[in-house]
Amino acid sequence: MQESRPPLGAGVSFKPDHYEDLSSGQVELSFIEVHAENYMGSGGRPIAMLDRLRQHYSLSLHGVGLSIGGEAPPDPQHLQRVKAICERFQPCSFSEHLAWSTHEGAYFNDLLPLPYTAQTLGRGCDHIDLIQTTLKREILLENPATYITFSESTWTEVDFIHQIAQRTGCGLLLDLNNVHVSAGNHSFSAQDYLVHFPLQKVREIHLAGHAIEQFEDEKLLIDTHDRTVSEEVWDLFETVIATVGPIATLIEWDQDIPQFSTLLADAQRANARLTHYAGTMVAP
Amino acid sequence: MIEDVFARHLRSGAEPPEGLFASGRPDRRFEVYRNNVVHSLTTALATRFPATQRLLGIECFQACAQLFVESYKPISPVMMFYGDDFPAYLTTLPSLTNWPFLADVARIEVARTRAYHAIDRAPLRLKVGDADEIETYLNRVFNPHPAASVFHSPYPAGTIWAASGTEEALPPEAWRDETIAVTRAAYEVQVSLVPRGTAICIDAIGKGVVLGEAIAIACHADEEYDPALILATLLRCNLLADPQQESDHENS
Repeated sequence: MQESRPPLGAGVSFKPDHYEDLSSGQVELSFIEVHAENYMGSGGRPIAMLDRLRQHYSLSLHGVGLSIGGEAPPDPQHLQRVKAICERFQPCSFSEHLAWSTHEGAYFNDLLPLPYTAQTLGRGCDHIDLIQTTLKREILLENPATYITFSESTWTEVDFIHQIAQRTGCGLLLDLNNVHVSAGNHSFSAQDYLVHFPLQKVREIHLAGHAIEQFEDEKLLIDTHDRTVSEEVWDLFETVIATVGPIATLIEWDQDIPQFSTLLADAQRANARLTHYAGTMVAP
Repeated sequence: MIEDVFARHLRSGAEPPEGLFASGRPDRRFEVYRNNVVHSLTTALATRFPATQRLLGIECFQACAQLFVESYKPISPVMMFYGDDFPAYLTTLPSLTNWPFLADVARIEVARTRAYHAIDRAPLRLKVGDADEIETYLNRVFNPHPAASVFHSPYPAGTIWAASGTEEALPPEAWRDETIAVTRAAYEVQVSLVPRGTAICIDAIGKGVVLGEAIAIACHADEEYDPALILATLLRCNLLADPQQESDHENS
C-alpha cells in the first residue's frame, strides 16, 4: 500500500489566483495541496495548471466528498473518481475528513459532524478500509472543527480517531485550527487534546484562520479559512513540533483569497519553526 | 438515524430536535451548519452564473439561488457542474416572467463551464484552398468538439450575455433571436453568435451524419443559409474535433 506523506517543510493550498506566482517554481515550498473535487473535470486549464505545478512541487490531494463518517459507504462512482485522479496525478498524499457530507444521494457541500459511538466507529473504519483498498494507498484522516457534540457519544474525539488509525492503519492529518475552534466551542483545553492525540501517526498539519462570532451569552468560533493563522493556533503548532519534531505543514486559505505574499508569509513562518526544530533542515 | 434527523432539519429549516446535542445552544450551533450549506451552495451558483447574477442584481439572484438550493441539492461532490438545472428552474419562477431571456443567458453559462472543463482535443483544421481535401472531408463522419455546444434562443441572449460583462450594460439594439456557440480554443472558452443552421448542423453531426449531408440538412431547414458559411463557421469556431487526435487518444 502506497504511503501518504507530504515532504517535510511548509506548503500552501493552491488557488488558481496564485498560478502566476507559482508556475515558474521559484517560490520555495515543500508541497502544494488542492481539493481533489475541484480537479475532477476532464481537461482544460485546471488540469494543465496542476500538471505544470507538479513539475516544481509535490502535490497533495485533499478530498471533501467521500463522506467517511456517513451511514452509507462512500459513493462508488465518486470513489472511482478519486482513484482516477490519484492515478492521474500520483500525489504524495491523499487525505479526507472525519465527517459526513452525503445523505440519501444528496451532497450538502459541508463537513457535517457525527456522534462518536461503537457503531459509528465500526462504520467509519469499514469506509476507510474500502477507500484504502480501492486506492491501494494509505489515506490521512483529518480531525474536524465542530459546533455541536452529540448526547449519544460514548468516545472522546481523540480516542475515536486513535481507534480508527489503529484499526485501519490510516495516517492522520492534524488540523490545529480545527482543534482550536472545537476547543473554543466546546470549552475544552486544546493543549489537553494534543496531549492525548496520537501525534506519532500525524503525517501532515493544517494551519488556517477562523472567525469569531460574539454573542451576549457565548462566543462561537467558525472555521472559515479566510484569514491569517491566529496566534493561538501558532502556539498549538509550537507545542506539537516541539514534542514530536517537524511535520509537513500546510497553510490553508479557501475564501477571500489574499495576495500570494500574504499566504506565503504564513508558510515561511511555519517553515522557520519547522527548520528550528529540525536543526539543519533546509527548505527544498 | 441521527444523520436522518440532521439532514431533515438542515433541509426543512426547522429548529433542531431536542436532546440530540450535548453542547452550547443547539439552535445557534445548528444554524452554523445550515448557513454553511446554504452559503456554500449559493456561492457555487454565483460563481457559475456571474452574468445571470449581474443581470438580476445580487439580492434577487441570491433569493432565486436559495429557492433552487432548497429543491435541488447536488447529487455529486464535483461542484463545478452543480446548477445544470438552474436555467430551467429560472423559467418556473413567476417573479421572472418578464425576464424570459434570462434562462438562455444562464444556459450560456452552463455551457461555458462544461467547455472549460471538457477533455482536451484539437479542433478540426482544413488547409485553405485545398478543394480535394474539402471534398474528402464532406464525405466523412466527424464528432462535435467535446467543448462545443450550440443552441438557439428566441431572444438576443448572446448579446445580453456579452453586454453584462461591460461597465454599462445597455439593452440590445435589435431584439431578435440568436444562435449561440460555446466552445474552447486551447484553454480559452469562447462565445460566438453563429448562423442558425449551425445548431441544426451540429445536431446532425452528433447523430453520425456525414459532414456534407449535415450541412445540407442545415441549409434545407432554412434556405437563407449558405453551405460555405456553415462550413466556415464550424471551422472558425472550433466546433468539430480533429479525428486524428481522437484516434491517437483511443490508441494511447
